[in-house]
Amino acid sequence: MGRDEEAMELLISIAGIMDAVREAVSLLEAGQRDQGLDRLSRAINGVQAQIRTWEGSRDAPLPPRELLEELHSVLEELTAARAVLEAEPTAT
Amino acid sequence: MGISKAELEQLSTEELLERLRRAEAEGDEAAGAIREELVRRHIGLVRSIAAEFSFTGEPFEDLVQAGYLGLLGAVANFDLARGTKFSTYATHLIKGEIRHYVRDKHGTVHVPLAVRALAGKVTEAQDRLFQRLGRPPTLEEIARELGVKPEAVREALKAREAMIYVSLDAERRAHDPNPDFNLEGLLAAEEGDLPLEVRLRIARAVERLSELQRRVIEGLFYQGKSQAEVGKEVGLSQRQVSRLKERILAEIRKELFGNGMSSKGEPDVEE
Repeated sequence: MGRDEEAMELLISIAGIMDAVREAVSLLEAGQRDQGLDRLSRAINGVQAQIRTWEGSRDAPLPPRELLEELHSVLEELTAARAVLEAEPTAT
Repeated sequence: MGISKAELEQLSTEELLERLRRAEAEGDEAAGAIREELVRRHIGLVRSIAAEFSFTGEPFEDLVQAGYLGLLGAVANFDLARGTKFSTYATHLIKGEIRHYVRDKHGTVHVPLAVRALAGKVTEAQDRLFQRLGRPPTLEEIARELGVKPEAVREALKAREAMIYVSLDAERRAHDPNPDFNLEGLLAAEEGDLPLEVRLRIARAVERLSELQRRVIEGLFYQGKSQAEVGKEVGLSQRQVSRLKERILAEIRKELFGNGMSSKGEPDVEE
C-alpha cells in the first residue's frame, strides 16, 4: 500500500474512533451506561488496533514515533475515562 | 398582557420564559419587563461565575459585564422544549462569554505561573492516586498527597479546566468552524451527567485525534501548503477549501462505513 492509501486508512480509522467516542458520549449523557461503555470500549479497541498497525511500519503517514505517542496518549485518556466510569456505577 | 412587577416575581423561571416567548410572538411590550425579571433573578449567577475567573487577573466588573452578555443570550435563545434547566443553559453561555472575553484580552487565559505549575502536579497526583486507590481521588486526598491546602487544589483544577477549554476551543474554531462534535457541550455538560474527569479525558482524546486528522489531511491534500495557499491556486477561499475537504472526507467515510455507521452528516459546501 502506498503512503497516500496508508494516510487514507488512518483517517478513516480515526473517523471511526471519533464516531464511537461521539456515540459513547451521547449514550452516557442519556443515562445509557452499558451501551455508552460498550461504545467507549469499541473506541479503545480501535485505538489499540491502530497502534498495532503502525508499530514497526515504515510507511506511516506521520513520523511513526510521533504517531504512536499520540495514539498511546489517546488510549491512555480513553482508558482512564472508562476506568472512572466503571469505578462510579451511579455516575451516569 | 399587562403584568405587574410583583406578579412577575411570583412566577417560576420556566413560567417567565413561557410568558416571554408568548409576549415576543404577540409583539407584547410586557416582554421587556419579563426579560428584566429574568436577568435580575440570574445576575447573582453571573457574579458567582465571574468570581471563578478571578484568577485571570481581569477586573471583576469586566468579567461580570461579559457574563451579562451570556445571560442575555441565554434569555433570548433558551428553548423550553429541550427539557434542559435554564440555569444549566445560562451557566454554559455565561462561562462561554467570559472565556471568550478573557481569551480576546490575552490571546489565551492568563494563569499565574504558580497555579499553572500546581495544575500539572495535580494531574500527576490524580493519576498516581487513581492507580493506588483504584478510584478517582477526592480533592482532600490530592491536597494531602501534594502537601497543600484543598483550596489551592480547587484553584488549580479550575485553572486546568480553563486552560484545556481554551486550547480545545481555539483548535476547534481554527480548524472546524461548524463542528458536529460539540466540545463546548462536552465540557459544559449538565452537572451529574458525566464526571468532570471523564469529560476532560474524552475531550483531550478528541483533541489529540482531531490534531492527528488535521496533520494527516494536510500531508495528504496540501503537501505542506496551507488551506489558504491551496485555495488561492484553485480560486477558492480558505473556508471553501476547508468545507470541500470535509465533504471529501465525509464521502470517504460514507463509502467505507455506509450510511448507518457514522452519525456525522455531510457538511454543506460553499461554492
